[in-house]
Amino acid sequence: MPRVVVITSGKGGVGKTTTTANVGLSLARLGFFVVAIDADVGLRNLDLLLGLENRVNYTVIEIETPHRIRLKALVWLVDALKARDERSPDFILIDCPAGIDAGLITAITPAKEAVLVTTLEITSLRDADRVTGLLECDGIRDIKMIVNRVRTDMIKGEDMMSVLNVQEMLGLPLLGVIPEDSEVIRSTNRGYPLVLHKPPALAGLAFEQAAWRLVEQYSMKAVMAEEEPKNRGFFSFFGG
Amino acid sequence: MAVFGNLRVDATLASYHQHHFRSSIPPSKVDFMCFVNGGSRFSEITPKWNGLTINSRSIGGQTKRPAGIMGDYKLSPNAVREGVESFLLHAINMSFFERLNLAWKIVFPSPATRRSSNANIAKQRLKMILFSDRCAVSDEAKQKIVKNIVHALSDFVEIESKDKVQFSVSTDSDLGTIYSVTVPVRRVKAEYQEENEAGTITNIEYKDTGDRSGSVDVRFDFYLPDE
Repeated sequence: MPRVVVITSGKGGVGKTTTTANVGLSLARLGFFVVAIDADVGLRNLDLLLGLENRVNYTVIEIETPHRIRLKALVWLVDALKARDERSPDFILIDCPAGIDAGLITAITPAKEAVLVTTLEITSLRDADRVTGLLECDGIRDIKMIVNRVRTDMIKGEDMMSVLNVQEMLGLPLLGVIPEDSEVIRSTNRGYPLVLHKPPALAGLAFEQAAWRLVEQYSMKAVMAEEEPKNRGFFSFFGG
Repeated sequence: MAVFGNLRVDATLASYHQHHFRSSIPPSKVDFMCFVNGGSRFSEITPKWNGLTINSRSIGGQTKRPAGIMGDYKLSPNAVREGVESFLLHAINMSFFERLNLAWKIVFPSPATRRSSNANIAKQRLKMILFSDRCAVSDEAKQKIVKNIVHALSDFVEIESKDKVQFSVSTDSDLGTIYSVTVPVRRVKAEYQEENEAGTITNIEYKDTGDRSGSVDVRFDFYLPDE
């Protein structure tokens, strides 16, 4: 039986599609059969993240479904995947659109688990809380959190809330903490996914750990992540 | 040598930077009382700077200002008013020991600075926002809640006026969110009034509980309404 997981956040731009692409790829590298669906029918981006924009043959708008209402196409698709005669997928990851309107409601219908992506900003945390309420209303109780774009230097300097604070306030188990990494932007630009980098990027490693925790249905405890020690010159002591 | 407590300094000391917003006292030879906190500064200053004049207010200001800026960094209105430029101008004129004090306060910030850090402000704001978002109830639900409560209460009391019922949501640090419905009541309905216990037995007095004699002697009142 495949595990159907929605990756959602409420606020846009926090890293849903990046998480879907990288966690999906990490799962595939671990040997699972993964299908990643971009449920944002109007503004799709998952193909860009994976470098597959030139290989898109059909979208969900073009496939023939028994339902005339396109909203039900996603449910039909997931059911069709589950009912495959050959091997059915182990994981179906659904990348949700931003917002809490009909697009999101459609996207979360076939799922039983959710991964909530958020950053450490007050805006995305508020939206994440709203989405949690919505998910629980719709019957998805298994919600885990991934905290993205974490800047440990700012946390240490008391300029950004810490992951521990967020875990206390939102009350969700933590699947992963992804540090802010400029490699994310570079890999999106090149269309070469982050987790495939050799040597592995920091954020890529964090995504792989998160994927493993997803498989094991395990969650981590928030700790103060240590930054990599920079080589400081003699005079930097005075300047800071 | 450290000097603590009140210190009367009879010498005259100078400041190069006359603070215009602290004018009024012309520089002259003045006796002044100084509260010294970390007094070694003052004992050293006196013998060295003998020929200088200082505004007596400003010396109190000078010692206090570093504490004012660092200690209540975001909270002191004086510090906010002065701004960074005047602080830098002032820093140039500070003596070594004042600078040392300032450096100590930067390296080891006091709890007041910690509390008003960006992260803590964000945490407080997020807490309030989450509370109010989580417990915000729709208007339709409000009407229904009021209607149900009024209906439930009207079995027991007579309500003054249905329009005067108030409903409010507030937060409390101990209990969390509090919903309060305020209902003005004209009077309690007849059958639920306290004095009116028709058919009840009151004032029970056991004259003999039957421990030894085997019979019980009880005296009681039985209330019958006289309608």
